[in-house]
Amino acid sequence: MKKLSIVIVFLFFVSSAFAQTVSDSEANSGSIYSFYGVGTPILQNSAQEKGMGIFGVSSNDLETSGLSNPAFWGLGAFVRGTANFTLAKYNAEDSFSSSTNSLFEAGTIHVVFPIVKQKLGVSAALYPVTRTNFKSSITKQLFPNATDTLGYQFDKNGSGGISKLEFGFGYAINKYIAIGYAPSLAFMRTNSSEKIDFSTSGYSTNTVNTDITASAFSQRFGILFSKRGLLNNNDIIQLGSSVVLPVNFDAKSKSLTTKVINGATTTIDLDRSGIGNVSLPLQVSGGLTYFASPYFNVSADGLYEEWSKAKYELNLDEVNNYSDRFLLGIGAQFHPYRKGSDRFFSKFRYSAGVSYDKGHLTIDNQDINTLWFSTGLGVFAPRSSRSSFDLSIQYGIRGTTTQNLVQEKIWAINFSVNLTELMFIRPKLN
Amino acid sequence: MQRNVKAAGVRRLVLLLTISGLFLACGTKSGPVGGGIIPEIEVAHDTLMVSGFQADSVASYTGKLTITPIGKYTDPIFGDVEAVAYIKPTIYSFSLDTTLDNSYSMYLDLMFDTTQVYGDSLSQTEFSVYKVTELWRSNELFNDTKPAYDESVEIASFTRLKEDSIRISLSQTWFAEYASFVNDTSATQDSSFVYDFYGLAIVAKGASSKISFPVPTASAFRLINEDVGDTTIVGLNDWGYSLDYANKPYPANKFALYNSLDRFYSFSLEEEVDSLTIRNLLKAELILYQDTDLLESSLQANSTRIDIPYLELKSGITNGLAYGLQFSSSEIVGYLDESINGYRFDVTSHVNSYIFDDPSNKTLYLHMNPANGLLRSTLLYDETAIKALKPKLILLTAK
Repeated sequence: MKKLSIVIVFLFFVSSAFAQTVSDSEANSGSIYSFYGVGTPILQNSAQEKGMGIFGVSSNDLETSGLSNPAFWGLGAFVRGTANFTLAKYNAEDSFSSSTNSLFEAGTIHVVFPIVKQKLGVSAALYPVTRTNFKSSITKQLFPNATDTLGYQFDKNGSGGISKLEFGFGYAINKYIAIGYAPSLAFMRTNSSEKIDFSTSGYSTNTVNTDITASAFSQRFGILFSKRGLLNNNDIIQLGSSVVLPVNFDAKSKSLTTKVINGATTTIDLDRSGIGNVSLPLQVSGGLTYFASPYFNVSADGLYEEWSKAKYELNLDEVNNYSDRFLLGIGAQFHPYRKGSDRFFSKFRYSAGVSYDKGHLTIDNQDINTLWFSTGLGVFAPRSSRSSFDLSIQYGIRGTTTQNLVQEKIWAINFSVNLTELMFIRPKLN
Repeated sequence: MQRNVKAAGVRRLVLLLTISGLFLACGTKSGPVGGGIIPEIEVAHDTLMVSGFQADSVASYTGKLTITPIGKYTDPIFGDVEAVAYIKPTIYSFSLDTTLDNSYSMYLDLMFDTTQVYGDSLSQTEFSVYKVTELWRSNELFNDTKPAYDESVEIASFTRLKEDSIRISLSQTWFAEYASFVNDTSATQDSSFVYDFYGLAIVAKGASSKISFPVPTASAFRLINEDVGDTTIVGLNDWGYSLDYANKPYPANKFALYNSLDRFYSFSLEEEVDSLTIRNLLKAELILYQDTDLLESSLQANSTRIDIPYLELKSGITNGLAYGLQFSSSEIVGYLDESINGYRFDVTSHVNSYIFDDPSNKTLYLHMNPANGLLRSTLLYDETAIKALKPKLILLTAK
């Protein structure tokens, strides 16, 4: 089984790699809306939670690391680790054309170590908070004089975003309440490239690369209420909430290009460089998960981000499109594998859900919202291990083609590897 | 049994995952989207009129060039031009079994560049060959240097229509003088040859309406022993030419360029460029328009001028103007664009040096390179022309 799991992972990555080699122009490009400001906000939920369509702030199953709420980290008995990957395909169209982009991204890396079993745990994580991945191409003509026509193509693409390196802890105050705290270093590095390529000979290609860098302190808090036996002997209800405080960066922007001056190629600072305040907004999330039995649970959660107060002083035109974001998700999970049946379809965990993301952008009075339909599958290692991997497939519809905007139809495959093992246990017998 | 069921299940899962990956991999791209979202970069052009051209003139080097022009021609635009060639045989690089005596005759084999004609291509030109009577050295020969020659005694004469080579029989008197230097076995042979033997001048005789272009490196003297028929090739030790332009009737409000450097222009873009605030200059192009109509209409039947595919801009000349214009490498070349009858110079690097630096060499010299010896001249519109034909600088910028 272990070998076959490796084969599965390998084949999945081969197919992903193939996706990246279809076309250079299509590869490594995501949502066009990631152009704005610091990029598209990224949720820290795992493939299991994505499969349910939820953020996961109240869904603590003790077998995965759970990055959505720091309060989860004190409750487990296992060392837990999770790595997430996403392969997404964007079918985008506006009033004039359509395109297809593919994007493969590594997501979260997260480990939780129990210090005191089911009481205190510590966490370390590296995860994306925002991502910029867009490519745009426009063909234009210019008439320098009465006889000349100058054609050129303007390509703009961007990559990077804000990530966090986070260390935190979770603590179970009693059997009902757990809390967690996670400070982190948030660091920003985005690169955008503007290329002008002329179709007429005698004109050199001009490329301007703009790098934005910043780092700042960030922190978040979480709390989880748990109650067993609410409606029957086997049920559990969990209420969770987390708060991420606003993060303020002093971001530095630098735009460079190359020029031939006096016969020598020289790197030139275009004097567009600047320092400006860039911020991530307050994020508040809350949710409810009800485990009706060991085989079935439902979750509903919501998230609010105060993007209307976020700053992006490096480009005030872009920040004017920020608006408050809320996200609502509801989903359910079915765990037939816990029945111990040998039937093939009884060996997995099944998830499904739907979510609505109002989005953090309002452009020309149009909210760039996304409606997601999600489903997921959990596959478990043999009984000697609690490790698993989760696969979710999401279909989302984002944006609109009105006002010359872009509508994106997104297919996304999310993949999480969950390592859940007993470690650091001193053997009783030698 | 249980293991088989598991294996089958995993295989199905592998299939599912692979199909999912391939599904995402497939896609077609019909065109770029996002034009309404991503702001376009602003590419703009600006046209500045260029003025402040100063006419200048300097004598050009004419020794040991690839071509040595000979003849006379009256150009309706560029004036009367007369070219006289000077050549001197070597006394080295060949060996004889005997001394040169009167059993030998001497000839000059002139090879011509037949692809180029300046003047009436169907006309015939007569030339006289005279003995030069004063010292000249090819490395110090300029187009306004005209070493004296003795016109009272004709060493030889020949006529050229459009032959690619002509063998010219030289007089025995002159040959005897040459032979005395070759036969000299004294220690002073070298210095005597340098300082006392001046070679020959080839001068157009009478009316001439064409400049011909001998190629000295392909030409040679020839010694023939008439008794036994032996031939010895004698190379050229020195060669060069003098050039005399007179009565230049070109219009006063035009730039007349001579590749002899009889007329070239200096100017600076400082005034036009210094006030620019742009940083991302995509291209700066200087355009100078040629008065093609006047050039073509002024030519008589069967007459041609040599094409001028490009002009040059140079700056930072430190080794003397004539040497710098003639022999330093081209900084900026402006090629003729026949669609606009104008020369386009890419001066982006030069203008960028104003934007990002303070160029130490602000003066640009507009000229035609005379390095190969062909005679070229052209006429350009100056800053008094109509707006469309004025010298102009077109700046293409991105913000």
